[in-house]
Amino acid sequence: MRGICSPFHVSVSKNKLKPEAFDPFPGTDEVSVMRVKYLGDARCKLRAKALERLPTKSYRGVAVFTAELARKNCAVVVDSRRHYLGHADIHYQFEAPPPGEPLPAEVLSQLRPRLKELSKRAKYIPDPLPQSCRWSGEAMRC
Amino acid sequence: MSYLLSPPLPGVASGMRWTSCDAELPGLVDRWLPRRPSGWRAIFDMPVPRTRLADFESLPSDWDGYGALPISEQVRQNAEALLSLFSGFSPSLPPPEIAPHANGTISLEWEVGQAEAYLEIGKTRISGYIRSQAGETYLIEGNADEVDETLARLLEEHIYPCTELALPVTSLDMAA
Repeated sequence: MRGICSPFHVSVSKNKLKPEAFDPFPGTDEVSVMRVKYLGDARCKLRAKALERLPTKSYRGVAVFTAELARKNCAVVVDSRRHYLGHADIHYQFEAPPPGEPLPAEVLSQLRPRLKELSKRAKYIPDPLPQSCRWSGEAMRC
Repeated sequence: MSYLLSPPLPGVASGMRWTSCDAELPGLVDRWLPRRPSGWRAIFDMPVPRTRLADFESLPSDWDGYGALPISEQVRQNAEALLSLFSGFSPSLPPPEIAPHANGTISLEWEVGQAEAYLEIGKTRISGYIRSQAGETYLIEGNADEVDETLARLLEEHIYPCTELALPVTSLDMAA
């Protein structure tokens, strides 16, 4: 799963994720994710909420998807527990562009449809009580 | 969104304004006008794209919680210039979806029926693709300060092509 903290990553009116929610970390081809199976819903919520920095960055909910879906659309899912147990990275397997510049057109034409598919198939669960430290939403399952 | 059609639809009084009943249903628009009729121009006002660009100015470092870069002034200016180009040369193009990206770029995206266009704008480069209604893909890449009306015309040709309207209009409901 992935914590959602930006209004630009989810369509509130349609309650749907946007492909930008799966943008890689700048300078890399990696997308940081949490493994619900290892962390559980409660600790996933705490980790996602820890990303918050009010008022500019407000935690809203979580995007849940299977590793299988990620592999089908993105390439490689790698356990990266050096950060913490339950952390993993999705690798898109391209060379990262310089800061402030887009990927080459050929890479974009292949990557963008995959991100759109991922955002369409992942499940967005808005947190009913984002200000709380407890998870009271539906189970983080696909 | 409101459209002022000139010349008016057959059977419709001149000067009539047709309003999309729901801006959240672009598919309805597509079914009514999947292709822009020859000789007609649909005039769109574009207040939304410029508002969106202004929103990006205040994005700080790490605005998404995953290390996203702020959107620089140069990138915003390049995006503004591109939007102005499109509205000047291709006013019939619908407003794009505009989004900031983690690497500090801005994207413009159009989806009309089976066609789509995606452009990502950086500090010095622009990159993207157009997928036509027929499924052909055209890659676009170059310097952000060298974009001209050719790109606008390419988008218009493949995203919202000008053809004869095949479907007759049999009814038209007017909203009060």
